[in-house]
Amino acid sequence: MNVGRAVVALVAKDLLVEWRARAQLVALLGFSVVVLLLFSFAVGPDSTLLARHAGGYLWLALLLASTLLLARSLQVETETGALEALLLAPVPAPAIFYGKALANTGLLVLVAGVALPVDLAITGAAVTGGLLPLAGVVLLGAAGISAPGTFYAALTARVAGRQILLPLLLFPLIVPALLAAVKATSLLMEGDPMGQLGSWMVLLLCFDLIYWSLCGVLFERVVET
Amino acid sequence: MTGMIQGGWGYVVAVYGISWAVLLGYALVALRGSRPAALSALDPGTDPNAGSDA
Amino acid sequence: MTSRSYTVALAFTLLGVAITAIGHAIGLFVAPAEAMMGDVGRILYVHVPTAWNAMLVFLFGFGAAVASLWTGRRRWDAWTTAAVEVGTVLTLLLLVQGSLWAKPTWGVYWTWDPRLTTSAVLGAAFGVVLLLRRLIDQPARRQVATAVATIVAFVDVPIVYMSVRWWNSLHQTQSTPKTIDKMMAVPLWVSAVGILVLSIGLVIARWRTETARLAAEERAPDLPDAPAPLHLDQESR
Repeated sequence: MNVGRAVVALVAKDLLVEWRARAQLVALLGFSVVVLLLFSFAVGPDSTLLARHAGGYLWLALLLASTLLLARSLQVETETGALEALLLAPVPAPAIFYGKALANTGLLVLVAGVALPVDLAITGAAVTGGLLPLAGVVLLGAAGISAPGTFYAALTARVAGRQILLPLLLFPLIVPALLAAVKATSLLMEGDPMGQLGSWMVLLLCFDLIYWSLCGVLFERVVET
Repeated sequence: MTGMIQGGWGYVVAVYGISWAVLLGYALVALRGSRPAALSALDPGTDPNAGSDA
Repeated sequence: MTSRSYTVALAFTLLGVAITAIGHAIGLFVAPAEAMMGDVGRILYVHVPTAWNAMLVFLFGFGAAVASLWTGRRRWDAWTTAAVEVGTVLTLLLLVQGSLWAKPTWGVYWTWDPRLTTSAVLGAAFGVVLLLRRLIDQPARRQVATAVATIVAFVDVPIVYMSVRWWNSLHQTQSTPKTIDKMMAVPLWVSAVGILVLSIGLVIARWRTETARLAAEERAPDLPDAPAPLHLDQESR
């Protein structure tokens, strides 16, 4: 089977699994909204402060929601032995990784699609830089979380303390992507007088390229042992 | 920043003290744990042929 | 395993301690006070060598991790673990030194200095690798997990550094003393060599322990029963 078609089939499979268990997906969306509310409660009713940090809240909500999403996306496979069956199928292991990572990216973008309006409403921030660039930042940021996230979820899928290990492994690693995504989002919300948006996008893109290729290469060894 | 920072010796003593304590302490633990006696205590196995370094 | 490597580890450690002591003695009592920082500048003779050697040890750990993944040999697993552990200890030490350097210099214990922040991220990333290792019982899987987590964490180092530098450059610019007197270069390099030799001794010592532990585990595996599933190609490598 052609690798591209295998990836498409695997993405479709993962999205279908999510759709069948859509109550959990709704719970995840609710989780990200609750996190946003908690941030605003923690800061208090200072609207200028809230607006200034709107980008940071959005990405932290996404990051926290992502650990739940990522852990589940691999648990579905290992609990039933489905991963072994997948490995027996005539698809290359990297295709399995890219299928899962793409599906997770899509789901994270969906979470962002719900969290962003809530974030804007709570903090009173406005997207002055245009929605299209923001969509680009969200896509690149979600991809930056999901590639190493999917990889680490596979690595810890059978480990006893995986609920705590996954965020512990992922959060330090994700720091550059988080910095870049938060910064780019803030620039799009508060204006970008010095034209810095481009360099943050490039940093995010480099992070994505590095980890999408590295994790794709290493994934085979992780699931085979 | 203009001129020298006065009275910095307290910080110097603290940094050197902590560094030497950590390095010497860790060296002591690492060396004790790798003594031949400590290693054979790790492994009470009786089969001398098994387990050569793969 | 012979006890010869123990002698080597012991020799390196003692030699490293001696060289470092000489370097620090020069730095503390012979070298002049730093022009800008005053006596606080003497912290650099321990801080900078720690930073360099932490990176060197992690670099070695990265190489060992690649070899471990590539060859599947247990000795490289032991080298990776030893290097990651020694590097993590050096990095945590580095953080304490960095805070104590930042307080008199910049007035705060913590600042978003790219090097300080990168060290914090590194310490967390590599520390978790050791934790991950503890939690996996199956040797082959543990070896792969250790190796890939080390590789992934190491690749992050330059990206973290760049991102924090860009991020920080918008807030403040920091001056770091670049001009180095000859009487300041000597203790710096002597201490650097001393801590390098000491680190080599430590890595060898940890490698010995880890190798013995892995060998003992292979001879007397006290693994819990494997949870049912189909591992068709178990131990194929």
